[in-house]
Amino acid sequence: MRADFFHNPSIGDSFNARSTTIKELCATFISNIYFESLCSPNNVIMIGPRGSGKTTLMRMLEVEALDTWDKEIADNFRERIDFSGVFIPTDRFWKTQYDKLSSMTRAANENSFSTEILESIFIYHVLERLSSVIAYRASKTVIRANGYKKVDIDKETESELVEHLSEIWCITTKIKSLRGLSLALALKKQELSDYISRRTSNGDKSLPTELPTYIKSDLVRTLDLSIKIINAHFNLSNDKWAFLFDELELAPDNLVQPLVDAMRGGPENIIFKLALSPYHKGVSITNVATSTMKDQDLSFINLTGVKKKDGEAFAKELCSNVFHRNGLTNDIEEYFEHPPKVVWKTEFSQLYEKDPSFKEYLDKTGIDISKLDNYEEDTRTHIRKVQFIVQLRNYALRDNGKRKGRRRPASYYAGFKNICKAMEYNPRMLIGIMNMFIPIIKSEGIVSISKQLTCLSNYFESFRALLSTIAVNSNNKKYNTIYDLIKVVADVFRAEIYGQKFKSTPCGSLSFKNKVNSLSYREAIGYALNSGALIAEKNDIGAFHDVINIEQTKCRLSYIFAHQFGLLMTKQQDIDLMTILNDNAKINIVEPFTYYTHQMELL
Amino acid sequence: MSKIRLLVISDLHTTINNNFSDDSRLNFSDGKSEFGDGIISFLKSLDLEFDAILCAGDITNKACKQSFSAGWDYVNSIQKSLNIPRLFTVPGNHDHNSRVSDDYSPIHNLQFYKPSFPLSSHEKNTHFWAWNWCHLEEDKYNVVLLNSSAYHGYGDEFKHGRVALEVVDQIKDHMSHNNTREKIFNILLCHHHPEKMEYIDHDYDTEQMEGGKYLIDKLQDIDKGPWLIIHGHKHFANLSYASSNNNCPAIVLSAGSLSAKLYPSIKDRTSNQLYIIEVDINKTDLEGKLFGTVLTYEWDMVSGWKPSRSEHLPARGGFGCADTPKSLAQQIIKKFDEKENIQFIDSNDITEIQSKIDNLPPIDFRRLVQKLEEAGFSLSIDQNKIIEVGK
Repeated sequence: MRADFFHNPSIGDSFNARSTTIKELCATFISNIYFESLCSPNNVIMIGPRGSGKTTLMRMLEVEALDTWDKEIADNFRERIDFSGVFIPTDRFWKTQYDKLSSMTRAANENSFSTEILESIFIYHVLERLSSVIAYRASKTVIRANGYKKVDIDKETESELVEHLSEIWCITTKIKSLRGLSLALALKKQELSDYISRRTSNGDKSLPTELPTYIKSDLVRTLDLSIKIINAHFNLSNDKWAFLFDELELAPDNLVQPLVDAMRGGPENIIFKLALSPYHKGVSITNVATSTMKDQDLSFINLTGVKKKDGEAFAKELCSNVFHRNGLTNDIEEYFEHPPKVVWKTEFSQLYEKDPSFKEYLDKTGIDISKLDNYEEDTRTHIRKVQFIVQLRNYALRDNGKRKGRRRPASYYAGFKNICKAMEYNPRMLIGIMNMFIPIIKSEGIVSISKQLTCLSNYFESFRALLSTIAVNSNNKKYNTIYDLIKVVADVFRAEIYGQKFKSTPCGSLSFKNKVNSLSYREAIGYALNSGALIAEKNDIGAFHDVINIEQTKCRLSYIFAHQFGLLMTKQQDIDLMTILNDNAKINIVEPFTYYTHQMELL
Repeated sequence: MSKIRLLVISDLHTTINNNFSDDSRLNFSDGKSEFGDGIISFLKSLDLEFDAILCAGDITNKACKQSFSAGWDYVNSIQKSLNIPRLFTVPGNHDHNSRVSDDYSPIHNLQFYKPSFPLSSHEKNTHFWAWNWCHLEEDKYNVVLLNSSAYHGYGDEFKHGRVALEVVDQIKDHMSHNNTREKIFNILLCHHHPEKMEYIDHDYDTEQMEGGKYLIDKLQDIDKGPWLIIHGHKHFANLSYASSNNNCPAIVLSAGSLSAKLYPSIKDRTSNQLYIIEVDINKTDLEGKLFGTVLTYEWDMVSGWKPSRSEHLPARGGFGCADTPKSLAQQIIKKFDEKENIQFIDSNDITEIQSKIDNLPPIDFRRLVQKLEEAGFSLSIDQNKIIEVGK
């Protein structure tokens, strides 16, 4: 059970599946189309920015979570999911040690035992999680809610299994039980980690002369052999196991790449499902000669750029759940003041009067405002495409055609559905902003449009603060953080809508066709994708591949920027990044604080 | 199993002034206390129904009247937030103006506090302030509230607690009287410790309640059910049996402080704590001695409120178990030896023994583990639950 002294979650920490109990995870989980895909018995690479729900989806595949999940649809998933999920979170302490040691060995130009030991700690970390799942499956003492994946083995078999595994895992298990095995693994990890700590803090001086024992095989081979032994003792020779690796962007490349490679023609009865941020420096999924994206054993799930219909349904269920838990039981949309209905004829007429360039556009296209509702489908489609530009432009211009001063964002961005869209249907962001609305509703009954926009702005500010923590190094002094780069792009997109001349197809997304110069921005673009500031437009392959092959990528700004910069929340034409930047500045991400802390960990 | 579940807090030392924020974490300097809100939200998260909340005094800090008001309101808000039907409390030395020199009474503020303190009943409250104790009757248990700081304000009395021998006789006579109905068990709530606690500071204990031993003896002479004594004051948690001349010793919970900042020599041995006592009504009624468990939750800066990891007190302990650690160890070893070709036994194999262990005080549980390890066994334990034993 987790109980916080700080009972009000902050925006950035509104929800984090890593630290949630299984009971709470199951109680709040909302299934979606991605979970359906993730349940397939295939190797999967799942890509999504921070807060997009990767950890939640992965954790829900764990045996204990599926066993605990007590909603109606859960039975269906328990029947379908034919593998035992082993969730593997990133061990941050290990990661710190790894980076520190890597840096030391690089500096000393050596390839020491320590690196080998450190890599074995990662293997022990995976085995510790595996052993906790086998212990859960075979436990005689845990009260099981649904008996999902339960196996009955007698104590003699259990002890025999433990002895076999202890031998190949190079550990000493005091109690020959599966629980004892888990404890022994934890102790082994501790022993090795202590050795590394001494090594990194004192060099070799205080180290014992004898090296600790550790696994010398690689992860995939170790898992292969372990699963064969486990299945034999469970008397389930074809039992499948899925290893669910979370936050792999934090893991070193030389551990990630073998996992990716093992997804093609890997060991029998083992499935890998890897969760990654959109950009992962140094690892390629697709550059292996034999690879093909149509490989039946490997599928991609891209959590970015959720479709409106799927996103709205998911967001409504998720946010309603949050409201219900806070005693707000009406239809969630009733708690949000709706923006006034837009009378398009009025909007068009007003802009026609004050904006000569719009007048010119309408006259040229022959669109008659008085017949706005009566056109054939082709013209109506065209009108629909420009109507929001008209609305925003009309809101921003005075009668004399000059720009109005700074005022609150247009009502265009208000309403429950638009707020969810601005949050990109990202679960963490949705929960975060809904928590801002709840006290307002409790005191006032409804969130006015003005307060909706204020909360959006406040949320944006915290997002901006987050982006501002990612420092960049550039020969152009105006780029100090990722946000500076994003702001330049956002300002250009804003000018496309509010510039001197009305544009019916303003640019609002980025392409990187100018490969030579764009390459220097690859890392910055990658970090912007990982933070959710940029959203890669979907294709069959997924954004991961696209950043590696940057010239094939198209991105748009997250809709969280829309109200702040007065941008549209619709798909728009692309423009090359180099055309926007119009200079040859180079940008590198600055790794902060110490050499062993990564920018990604700030996210 | 029928249970009476009690929430116990003590020694809040509430402050409203940042000048005293070094004394306590429960600070209402801006009218609210984040620490206080955190306790309530933690208790709510436990999703438990309590029969009563007991507060063993020192609600305020250094007799500050406004802080008393904030602290007493806070105690009441815990009761209200958790829908607890009963609230029992006594004043502590800090609630009295113990070192009165420029005031005319050490207890005036408490006696005339509105709404009335510590009881809402005028009659009971009058009895409490007149005789320094009162008796309250519940369905399954009796409660005696005792003011162990009643003589503060006179001479050196502020240095220790006191129960006048005449008061003890009064309590004994009242509780023994035919008109006083026998209940399954009895609670004595007071602020000072009735028996010396020299082990805390490895020094002579001069703060103990004078007359405390006499009190314990006389309570145990009353043949109307076993006694649970709950006190605070020392900020150092312990669970023990009182010295007794019979086979039914009183259980003594020395409650640690809910929120006071602890002094250096104890801060690594105990912590800011709250307790949930569950008295097993059936077993207690059947055996005529107290059976139950004590759950301890502690606060730290990193994790907030969580099951305690302190030795004083650990997350789980109990009282009432008649078996010694040695006997329990032998029972477990016998179970192990009964199973042939088996390298370990688990909690399913020792269910009956575990039910006895549940009522074992923490110190005896530590001894049990030690005895099994000395016999060459390895144990897997979770709080005071033995999950597996292997050799």
